[in-house]
Amino acid sequence: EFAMSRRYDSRTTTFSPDGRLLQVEYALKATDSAGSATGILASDGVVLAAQKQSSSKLLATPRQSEKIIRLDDHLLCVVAGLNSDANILIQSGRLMAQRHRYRFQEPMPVEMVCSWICDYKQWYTQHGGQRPFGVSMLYAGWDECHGFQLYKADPAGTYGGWRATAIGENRQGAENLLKNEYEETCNVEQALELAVKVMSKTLDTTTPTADKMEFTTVTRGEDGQVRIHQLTEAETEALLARVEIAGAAAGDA
Amino acid sequence: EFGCTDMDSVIGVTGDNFVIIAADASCARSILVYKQDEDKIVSMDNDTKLMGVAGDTCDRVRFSEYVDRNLALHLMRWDRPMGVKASASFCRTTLATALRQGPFQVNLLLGGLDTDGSASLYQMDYFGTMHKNAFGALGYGAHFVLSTLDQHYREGMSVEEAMEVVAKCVQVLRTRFLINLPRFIVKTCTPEGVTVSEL
Repeated sequence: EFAMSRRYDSRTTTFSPDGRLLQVEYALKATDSAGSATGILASDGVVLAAQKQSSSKLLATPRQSEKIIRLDDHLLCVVAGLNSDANILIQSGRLMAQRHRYRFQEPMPVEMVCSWICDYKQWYTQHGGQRPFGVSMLYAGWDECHGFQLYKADPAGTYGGWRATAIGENRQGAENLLKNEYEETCNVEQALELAVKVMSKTLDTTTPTADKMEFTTVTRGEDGQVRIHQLTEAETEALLARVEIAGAAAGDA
Repeated sequence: EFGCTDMDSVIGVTGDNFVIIAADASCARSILVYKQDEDKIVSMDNDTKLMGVAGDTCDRVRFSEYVDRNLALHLMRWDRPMGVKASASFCRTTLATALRQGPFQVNLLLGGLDTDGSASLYQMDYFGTMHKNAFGALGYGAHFVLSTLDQHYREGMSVEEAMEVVAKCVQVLRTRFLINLPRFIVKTCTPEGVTVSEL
């Protein structure tokens, strides 16, 4: 059905006759074929899970996650799409967060960071000659205004607050699973177990392993400080084992 | 003459959950008094913050309106007033950035209440020096008033007790300060809002 509308592809600033910004839609398609990721809001934190991609054994293992990235001490983002595009957004987001800290002597609220980066993305959907950013993003963190939060933003720069959502490959399947199984009263541990199920679905595997998926949690310590913790390989394996046992037990019953 | 912040006397006092800022109402240059009913204290962010500013009228008004409108914009965008510390830090970085471009020649006292009801007061000069204090004073008047405050200020005073201390400060100025200051506008910020009175 795209045959006729090709004429209107070439500039992002042009609407197609049926009122669509095709370049923006194509950008979204690009992110839909990227590695999957999910975010789940728990009562005591936020859980993020992402696919670990290793296209080759020769690829050096990165020191930090390539998909779940820290923007400031109290907030993270998860990226799905072109990593080079994501890097630009991450850099500018980190800069804005520090500028805000300098100007206001307090952390930049999570929604404000999300909103600012989205405004930045929107610029590229309206000004001539440049393509949109081919990245979908999740923002997760804690601030004094609204506590734990999770936002999803698309290449157009539209964002919304979510209780649970997914980006990247098979996100429809992930979103359906979340719709059926997410419970608002869940805690971080339960959210982690749900995240395992979601990632197993998006990766289409019944035997999830720690080398295929990674998990990060955002919580608050007893001193009120925000804690961002990427599960170690051992912790991930323990989590996967717990989910397997629970699944097997449920199967028996 | 220009950029003179000495001629405005501003006094600020905090309690556990209130802030009082008093400022003289004279607007003058050299030997001429333009008016005696100038309000140098701006109430901002839905009456949750007070800012008393000392300096020539042009910079005083320009700066206080700029801060007031920026706080209002923030409130409009995020449906939530900025905290006192964040507002004060915003003022400070505005002053510091402007210093080597086109300075705002103002000194100020910014006090207010956070959403948890706690009160705080920040004093700033036009360089962008900022300190948090329980009380403060600006202008020539500070030379007189700070010793009065040192003597009479107590933590945990009621609004009435704090008002008495402010009244003592004004009395000292009327007794010992060369410049006649017949009128002080006093604004009190409490969880119920801002009330205006005079001394």
